[in-house]
Amino acid sequence: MNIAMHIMSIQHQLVLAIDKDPDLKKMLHQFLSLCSLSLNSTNSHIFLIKDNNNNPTYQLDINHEIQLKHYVSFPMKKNGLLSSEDTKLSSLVNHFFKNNRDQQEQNFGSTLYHFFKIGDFGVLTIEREKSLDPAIQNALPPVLNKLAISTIAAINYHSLVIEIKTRQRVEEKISYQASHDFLTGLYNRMKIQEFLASAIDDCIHQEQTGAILLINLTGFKNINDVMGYHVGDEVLKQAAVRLKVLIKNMGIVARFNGHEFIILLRSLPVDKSTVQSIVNDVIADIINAMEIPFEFIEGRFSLSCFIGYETFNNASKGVQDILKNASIAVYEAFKRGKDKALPYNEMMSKQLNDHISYTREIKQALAHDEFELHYQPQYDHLNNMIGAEALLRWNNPLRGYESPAIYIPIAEESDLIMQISSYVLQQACEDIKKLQQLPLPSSFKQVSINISAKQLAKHDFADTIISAIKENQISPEHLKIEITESMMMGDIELSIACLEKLHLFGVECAIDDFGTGYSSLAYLKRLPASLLKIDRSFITDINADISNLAIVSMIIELAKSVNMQVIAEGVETKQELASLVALGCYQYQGFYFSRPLTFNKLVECFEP
Amino acid sequence: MTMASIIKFTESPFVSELSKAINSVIEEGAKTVLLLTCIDNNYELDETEQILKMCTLPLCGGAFPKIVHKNKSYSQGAIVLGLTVSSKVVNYSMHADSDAHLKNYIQTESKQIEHYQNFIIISDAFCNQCENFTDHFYDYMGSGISAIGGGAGSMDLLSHPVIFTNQGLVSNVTQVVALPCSISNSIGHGWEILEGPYLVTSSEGHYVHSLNYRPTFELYKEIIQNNINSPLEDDFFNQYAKCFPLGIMSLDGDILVRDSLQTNGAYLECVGNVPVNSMIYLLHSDLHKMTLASEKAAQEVARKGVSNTVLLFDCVTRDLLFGEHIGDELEVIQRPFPNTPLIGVMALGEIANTANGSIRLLNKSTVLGSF
Repeated sequence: MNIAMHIMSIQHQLVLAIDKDPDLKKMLHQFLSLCSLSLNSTNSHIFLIKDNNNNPTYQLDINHEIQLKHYVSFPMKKNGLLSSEDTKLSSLVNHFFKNNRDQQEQNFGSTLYHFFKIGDFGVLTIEREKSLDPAIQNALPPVLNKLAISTIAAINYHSLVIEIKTRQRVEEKISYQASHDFLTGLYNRMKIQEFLASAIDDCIHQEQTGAILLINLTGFKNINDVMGYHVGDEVLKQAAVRLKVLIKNMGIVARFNGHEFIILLRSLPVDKSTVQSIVNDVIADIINAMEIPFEFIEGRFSLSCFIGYETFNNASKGVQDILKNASIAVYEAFKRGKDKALPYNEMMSKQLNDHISYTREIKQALAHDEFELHYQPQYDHLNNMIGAEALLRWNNPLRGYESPAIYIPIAEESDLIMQISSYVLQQACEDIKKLQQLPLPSSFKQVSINISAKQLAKHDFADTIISAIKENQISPEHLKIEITESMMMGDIELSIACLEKLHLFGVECAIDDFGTGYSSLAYLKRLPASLLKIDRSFITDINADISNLAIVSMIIELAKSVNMQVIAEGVETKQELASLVALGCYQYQGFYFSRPLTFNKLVECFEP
Repeated sequence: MTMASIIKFTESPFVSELSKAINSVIEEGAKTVLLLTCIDNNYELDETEQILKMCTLPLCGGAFPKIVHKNKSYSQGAIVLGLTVSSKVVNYSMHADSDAHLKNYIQTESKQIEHYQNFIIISDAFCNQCENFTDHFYDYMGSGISAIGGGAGSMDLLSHPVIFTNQGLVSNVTQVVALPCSISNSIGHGWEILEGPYLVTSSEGHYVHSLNYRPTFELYKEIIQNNINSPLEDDFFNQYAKCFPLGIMSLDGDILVRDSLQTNGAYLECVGNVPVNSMIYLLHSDLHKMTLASEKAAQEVARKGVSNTVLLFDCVTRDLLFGEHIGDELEVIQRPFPNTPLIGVMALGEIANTANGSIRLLNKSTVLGSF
């Protein structure tokens, strides 16, 4: 055999595999495949240093013992065993790597191994039936030097590819996060504004109509409050899926904020009645979809929604105008409660502006001391005055006394309610101080004030009350606070802790409007409350209304079982009083006894 | 010893006889049916398809230019081999659009037979990925396996449906029959170096463009001219190519024969890949040397152990070279197995694992296996 030519042939065949593919594994696999052909190897393997991510590397970590790991073999197995799992082979390779020789021939068992170093970071292992001719062994190092250089280049290439891919993934993620809602995976508010801007352009250039539908889930807050945010989140995810399935390619669904979703319908026809018909169909589908109960392990939850919408077919309204209008429409629908969906009209803006003006007036009223406290006395069955409930009245200089049913809900939408609550507490304390200086009958126990949900939710609620009592130097027993059942749906533990603190201080607590909320009887027992105020709706015509009679009877029994007293609100007739006496309710409040009185009128009640 | 197979032979070119033979091996307890038939049989396609599809056992095999039974070759007829061992048949469809896809496909399909070590491989000789298949299959299954096989098809060099499956006769398929028993195999060819070595300075798959930087055909003609006393005629290639194949010599001295199939006056197209930068030789032989090589291969198989099935994949070009003397070669192959009838085919390319264990596509060779 012409050995010189054979050597040249082998070198050139092997070198052909080098640099053929930038993918390291493919290149080295091809190299080993050619080893089988040109070196007549039975099996061949490459072991390399690997980093912590199991990626090949050529950089030595001088702080740790270097351990080569299997990278690729041709063929993959020997007698059915994967070479990557051949621990004996791995041990032989690492032993060779550590002995600082460039090449070595070794018999182990029935196998003949030839080991060759690849740079200072790898080993090529050739298994053969017979020993390689020394001339051929000596001809391989130049090939392996080239292989080492190409391996380094491929590793660098691989690192670069990984870096680029990682960067791409990060950029894609950032881009996704910038345009999508993290919880539902829907587009977010920013992105829908872009789509809306584009839809407005389309309307101008392609004579189309678009529509924005803003969907507000009602009843959602209760789920969050009662069941926790994790359940609320699941509801939002399911609602998102329902909307996406429903809308399909008709439009774009996005999460606007909180429990509000937004749908952009684009490419609608110009004809108004056709557009209205399409929008109506979509609205009907959305309402149906949202009213299907949401089912979880934690329970089954029913929701409904209100929808406000605005259509557009020209550039007269910008993105923000359209969104604002839809928002006004949904607010109006919510406020009216009758229609589930309302289109925006300009009257709504006017009403909203009125609302804003009204809010401003409340602020001014606070500043100008236009609020007053009136007191409705409370009596026992022997007609002794046992206390009074402080009721807020706004003496508007233009409109006279305003109904609290109008301004309290508006005040509750903002922090104005806190300012009002603060006024009520302070004024009640001042009035109590004055009453303490009067010869009050022994039956008169205290003045009660209503507490708002926002007040109760404050961490310093109890301290605020205690401070007011101390500052005004009144007896804590003379102040009673009234809370409603629904207020207990927030952070119940915090509420109980606050009420407990007040109870220890001497301030009693009453549960107002009892029977209309959804309070858990378990919590009722834990509340340090001493009085249940039966809601006026159950008292009305109690003498004739059997169901009211039954409810009140049940409440009285319930109160007894938790060792609480009861007082009936809204007692207006003699017959109602008689029924209540018959049921065992001995405390009353209502027009039959007295209307709310100004403080001065109340004081007159105690004058001899 | 358990019989590995039940053998039925018929000289009939009709499918009815094939059907009878299939039913017969099934009745005798076969678990898999291997068909070796002649491409020139008068098998009506629809009827054949019906028989194949109705077969209740796994079915495999191919149609070859000729079949071999005992010491004779036949241009018509069939051998039905009822394998009594639980074998597994995998049909690999050779439609991958890239080598990477082919590799993935082979690895995925081969998982079901990855615990087997012995294989019969029957390939449609005209699917152009046959050699890539053997490379990837070997890469996945690993060294230590044993394989015999060959290419099915017609001498007209046109593609026909030649692989038998339970779904009918198909083309462009490579079929692997995984056996749970060991196959002893051996390769013989009898070809020796006439001239060389030459460095393959340009090649692409089957096409050898240049040797020692000269057009292959030009050099090839020159070498033959130097070895022939009379001047070469224009169609010398068709006359001499079958007598002067090329050979790739391994580092350990084994010769892998590469038959030269055709030329365009510049390149030579071989049956099988010729890698660039490999060293090749011009080979020659004679009937005596070829017979001796086949005899040696048979003796080697016999020495490894007595089995009840001796399966031959002999190159169809050897049949052409032997002509009416083919019986002499078959006789020496049969001789070491006096109690076992030799069965086999004249194939278009043979498949076996070579000295280093790798499965290779061979030319002008005798592949013998017993199990």
